[in-house]
Amino acid sequence: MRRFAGWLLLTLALAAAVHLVAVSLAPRAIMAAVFLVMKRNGRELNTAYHEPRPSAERSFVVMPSPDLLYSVCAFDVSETPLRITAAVPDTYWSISMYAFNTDNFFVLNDQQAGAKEIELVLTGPGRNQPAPGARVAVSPTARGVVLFRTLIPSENRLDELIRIQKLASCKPLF
Amino acid sequence: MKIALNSLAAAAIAVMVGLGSAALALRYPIETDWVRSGAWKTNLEAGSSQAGIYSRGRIAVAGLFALNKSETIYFLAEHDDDGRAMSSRCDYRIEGKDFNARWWSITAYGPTFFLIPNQLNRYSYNMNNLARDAQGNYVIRLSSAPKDMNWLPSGNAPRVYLNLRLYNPDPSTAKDPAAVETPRIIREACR
Repeated sequence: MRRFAGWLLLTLALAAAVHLVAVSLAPRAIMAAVFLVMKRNGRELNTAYHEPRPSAERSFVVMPSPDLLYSVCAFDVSETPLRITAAVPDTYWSISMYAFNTDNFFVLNDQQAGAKEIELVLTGPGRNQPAPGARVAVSPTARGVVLFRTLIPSENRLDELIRIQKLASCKPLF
Repeated sequence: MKIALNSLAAAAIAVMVGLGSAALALRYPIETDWVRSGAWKTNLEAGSSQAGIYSRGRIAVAGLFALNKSETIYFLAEHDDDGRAMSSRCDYRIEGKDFNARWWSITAYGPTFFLIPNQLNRYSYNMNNLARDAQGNYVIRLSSAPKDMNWLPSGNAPRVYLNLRLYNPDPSTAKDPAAVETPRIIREACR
């Protein structure tokens, strides 16, 4: 009986450890899956891709907003920082950045941008200021995702906003 | 030999229990991280580096790339006002008014958290395209059958979820989301 209790305790302790590791690693595993899917679809790192408006047939992310246009740039700044540029429309717009553990470490919206165009540099952890004077975002992980969101306030502005969406870009700084 | 077999069995059971319970915890999380308002709830740690492992995991599963609360507050409804899971078998009235935010929308999702297929390609309503009464109130009709006004198709979805997004909420809303007067979700006829 005592031996059985010992095995039971050992099994439960091991199960608890597996549980905690699995929950902790789930965000990284999901982000790794995003990177894998993008690679399988022929998408390169450090490049912005402009998604069509989300629909039931096509969406690159769970719980998409059908009122938004998304552009996505999966990054790896282990070798070189990224130069990110975009046109800022006169509707809700934001650029947000996610670390490999899915933390949203940077957000800038159209009101905070304060200009019709923005340019910023994204660099990795522990790096020096790569471009003096530039607006800089520092990712806590070398890999992650940049997401641009553009709100469609009315259907008759869709074409115009798609043109603006496609001006967003991600490119290696060096 | 017996010890080796017992160890192997214990390890196999532990992995199965550990992974199974992790999947359940991410899919059906404990509610402590959430703030409730009516049938709706919001996780204030969405996207935050302060999020605990369960919040971060849950958001990654059901709301990857969520914005932090200063930018957007997401209210999720999994049940109607009486706590019953929503599905396309029933019709629902979603009654509400405006929110103190720069922009807001209400979107319906199916059981895997993707948009629900429908002939109109109508997946959401927002502050600009809702029909309202003279007081500015609105009723969204969530149903698999066509409705006259503000019809939000639920298609053929065994589970339906609603997401209320408040973009750039005003500071008082961001500070106290529980005080947001979220829409009522009233179940009507079922088939």
